[in-house]
Amino acid sequence: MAVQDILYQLQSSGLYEIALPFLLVFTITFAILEKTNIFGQDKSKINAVVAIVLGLLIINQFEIVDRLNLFLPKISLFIVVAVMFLILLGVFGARVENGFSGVLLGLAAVASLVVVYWALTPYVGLDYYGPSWLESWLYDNAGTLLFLIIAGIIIWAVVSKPGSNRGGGDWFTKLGKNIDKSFGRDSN
Amino acid sequence: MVTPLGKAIEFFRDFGLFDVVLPFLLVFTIIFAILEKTRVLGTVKTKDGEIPNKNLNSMVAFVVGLLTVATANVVRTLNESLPNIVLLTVVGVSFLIMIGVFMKTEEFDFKAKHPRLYLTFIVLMFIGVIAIFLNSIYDADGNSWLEIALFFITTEWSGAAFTSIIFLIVAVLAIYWITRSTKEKKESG
Repeated sequence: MAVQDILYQLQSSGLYEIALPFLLVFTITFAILEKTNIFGQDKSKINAVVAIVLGLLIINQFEIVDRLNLFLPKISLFIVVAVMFLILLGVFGARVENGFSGVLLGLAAVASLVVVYWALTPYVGLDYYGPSWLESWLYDNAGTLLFLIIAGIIIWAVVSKPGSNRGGGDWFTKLGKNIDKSFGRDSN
Repeated sequence: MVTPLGKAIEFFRDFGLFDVVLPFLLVFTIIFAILEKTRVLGTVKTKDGEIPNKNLNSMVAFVVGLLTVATANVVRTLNESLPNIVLLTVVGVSFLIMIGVFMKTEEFDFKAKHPRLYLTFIVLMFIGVIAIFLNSIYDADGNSWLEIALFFITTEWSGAAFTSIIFLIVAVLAIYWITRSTKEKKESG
């Protein structure tokens, strides 16, 4: 039997729509409850019951399961792209094992947030801004928002003092130092 | 296409698992666990020391659970909001996994290493949870509280009430920022 046939059989048995979402939600919820000790220490039975109930509740909502099934592959795609990017950096001598820090990590966080937003939207492209009222509001107030953002960045850059940790005056300096650090060069 | 597992879910739905059994189990478990943790209803002395009064705790949790499943609106809110909360959790975990790609090999302590980002995400998650629950609570006309709030915001955007609220928020934030800066200077000086 070909692999495709096996996958088709698994799909037609409801593995992707019911079993896998349940398993994922159960595992994540149980792990978080065990880690955070919300219900006290050594309460694995209570944690398991709550995780099972949440897992069963989610598979009853087909819309959420569909969204989850669309969301996770997109996240996986980003992770593969990110790893490929790190491999490329490694080719050029970057010390990838030390990880990013400072501004570079901030940029990675912003990129991850954009990907999360993209993965959550029902369409494939980035042409979805949100509910219709938000889209119309953004369309009407785009100029004001742009002005506020630019003014905020300018104030942020002007207010900072050289050498201090606050504000954005040293932003590009910090970025350069972080890139140097990633490539194993001492910027001092 | 109805799958075998899908048929099982349909059977459980007809049986009332999602409307009665699971909400009851969830409420019972949570109430019982909190009563055991906080020992609100007292303790019992045994040879091994003081332990929570399990009989009273379980009875209270049982009654609260039954009362909850008897209220259709609450069950509907639970059934609609909890899967969305779980989706939010999965999204949060996915984000941490994505960030983890760019970090070095160690336990991810977001709170200790990036307190500002941590606070930002706490606020975002809080807003998300509030929005999800508001979206699951309905008034008599069938409009969710979130819809009502958004309608109020979009129609009263330039009105006196909304402007006053924004002014109040800005004033409070400004006072907090100024007083905090002064305090930090005093501490450092």
